[in-house]
Amino acid sequence: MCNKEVLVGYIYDELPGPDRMAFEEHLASCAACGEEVQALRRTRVRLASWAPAEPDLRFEIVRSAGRSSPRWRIAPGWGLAAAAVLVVAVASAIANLEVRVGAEGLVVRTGWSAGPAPADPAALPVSATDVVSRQDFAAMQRQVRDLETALAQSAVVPAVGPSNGAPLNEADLYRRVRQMILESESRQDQQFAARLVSGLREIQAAHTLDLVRLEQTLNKTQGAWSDEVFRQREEMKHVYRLVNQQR
Amino acid sequence: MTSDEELVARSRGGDLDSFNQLVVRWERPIYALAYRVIGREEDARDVAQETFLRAFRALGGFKGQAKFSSWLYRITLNLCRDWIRRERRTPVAQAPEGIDLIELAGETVPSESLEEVVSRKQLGRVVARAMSTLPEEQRTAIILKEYHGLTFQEIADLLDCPLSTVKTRLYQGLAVLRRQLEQAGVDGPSEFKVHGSVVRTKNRAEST
Repeated sequence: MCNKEVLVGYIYDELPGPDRMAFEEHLASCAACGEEVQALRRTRVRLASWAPAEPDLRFEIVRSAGRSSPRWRIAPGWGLAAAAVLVVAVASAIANLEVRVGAEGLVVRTGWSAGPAPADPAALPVSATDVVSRQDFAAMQRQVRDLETALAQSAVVPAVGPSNGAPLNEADLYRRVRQMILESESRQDQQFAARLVSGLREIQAAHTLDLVRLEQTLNKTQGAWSDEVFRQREEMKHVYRLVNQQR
Repeated sequence: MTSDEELVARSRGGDLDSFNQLVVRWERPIYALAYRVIGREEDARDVAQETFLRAFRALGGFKGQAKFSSWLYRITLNLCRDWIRRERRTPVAQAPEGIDLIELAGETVPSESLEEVVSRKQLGRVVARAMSTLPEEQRTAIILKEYHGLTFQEIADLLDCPLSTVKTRLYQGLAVLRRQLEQAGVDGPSEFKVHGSVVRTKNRAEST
């Protein structure tokens, strides 16, 4: 009976030198252990494919103010995400943003204009149009609600930093928001590239499908044409036989 | 980079920023540990949050007798155990309904095609299902070894069990996983491409 504790130590490279050498000698003569070592190493390779999703965590311990004894809570990352949404929304407002919810979903139009914004938003010059899905809109609504909650809480429980912490906290917030915006842009670039690749693949797939359909149609046509020739030939034979009989 | 020990010492002196640096450093490994043990994203996030809150509150009692990360792992595993008892259910890995190709395309690396990413994701689900069938103690030992690169001794200290027990749990767990993956048709000899040491390197990188 081979020692499985030694085997598992060997697989995880945790055997002391002499034990390792002894086990390798054993492997040279024990086919069962050799096979098991290979199989369990394969299993370990498969295990590496299980990766959790990468959520936006950004936890932060903050101190509840206005109490005689300090109380602590943890601020989740979505608070900052909501703040980033607000910053983007403000920036968008400066860029003459028009947001309209219609049958086609949420329509966002932006137009950079030198003069003051016209009274009628529909009259805005339109330089770019994006349609955001209802799902995205619902997610944005959720984030805005979260932001409201976070703001309401922060009014009571400001985040703790150094004693004169407000400017530093602001700087930290701006740094984080900026980083989130950059990350968001990077994600959008990746998504665009992915959509491009996906689109090209769809075009290629559609092209292949068209070729197949064309070939099938040609085959059918050829088949129909062959049938017609065969039918006419049979009719000719029949007529020929009739003529011969009349003679 | 400032060491964990140094940041812990500053945190114990009341420096909240130092503790939040530790949070930034360890939030992903802690979340990943919780996720793999209990298998639910939202609950894993809650466990990870609670881990840091408890660690912060109990920092006065942490005398540096173990590594800070081991201490965090212990708190996380205790919370996971509570969660499993409370929920009275076997962890089940969350599997999304469909595979979002756009999302996957964003995850591709230059050496990996879209098909390979899809394949890896599907394999990941098979592995998650196989892991969820293991008894809790075997699953925990394998998670700590495979995905967090802990040594046998570190796992034994963390789980308060003898070294030989850790090795037995790892061997038994791996043997079950091998059978499960072979039955699922994803662990044939022809698919063996990477040496085991590569996996270990990757896992250590993930845990830092």
